[in-house]
Amino acid sequence: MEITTSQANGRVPITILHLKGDLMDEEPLHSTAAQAIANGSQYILLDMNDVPYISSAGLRAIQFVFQSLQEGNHEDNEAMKRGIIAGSYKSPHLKLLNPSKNAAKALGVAGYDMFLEVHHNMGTAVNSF
Amino acid sequence: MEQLHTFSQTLSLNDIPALRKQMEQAMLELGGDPDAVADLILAVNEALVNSMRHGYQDQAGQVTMELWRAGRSLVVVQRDAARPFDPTTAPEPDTKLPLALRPFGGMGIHMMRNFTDEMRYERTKDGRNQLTFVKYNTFP
Repeated sequence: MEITTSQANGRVPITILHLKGDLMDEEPLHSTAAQAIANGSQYILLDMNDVPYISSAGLRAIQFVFQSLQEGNHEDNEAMKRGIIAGSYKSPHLKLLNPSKNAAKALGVAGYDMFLEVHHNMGTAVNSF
Repeated sequence: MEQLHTFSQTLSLNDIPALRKQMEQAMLELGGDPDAVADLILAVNEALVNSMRHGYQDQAGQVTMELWRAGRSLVVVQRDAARPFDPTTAPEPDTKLPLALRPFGGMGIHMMRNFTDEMRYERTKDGRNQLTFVKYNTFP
């Protein structure tokens, strides 16, 4: 897995992590995202256009990013609780771009797709934050 | 059942991607439906990681993978000589629990169950773990 990082500015500054290769391990996504968050990133878009497969370890890495961003944004917790109760909560901080068919299957089986917005166009994804 | 292919090697965690790619290529060359093959590969990958991590405790160990055809189904039989581990008895994770509240882990066996049509475990008479995956309608 290779990860390159870029920045985009929508209504908020967004860190885009471009993933390339199978997401079969927690690393390097875990450490790359942790570094971005430590450097101040509050909004992350995972570009999954070149990710053929996601394993359970890859899912753990995505969950780590989700929870790390959530922990750093306590003001969202009340909105999150209301959304969870209503069954409509999706993270405003972590979104996905273009997961492949197989990657989408893994996200669906794990139930991650209920909590993460999926976009299929970079512009739409950036403007959604 | 017709045996199609056998992979047998001393495996470590780092070898799993290469073995996974060899198996995927073999399944596709045998005429397997790409979507069904992708599901099986996801399940097998989790099983191999479990074998290495929990069975062999991150050490290298002997693993045999057999591909069989049973009618339209593709059957994968995985054997290892690691300590006994029956994934079929693992509890199902709550996939409706919000991500923010979920414990980490537990998805590997869930994926193995959900990406195959049958998953069976037995401890063989010679003391090996044998895990069998069946994927229906893989062949035309």
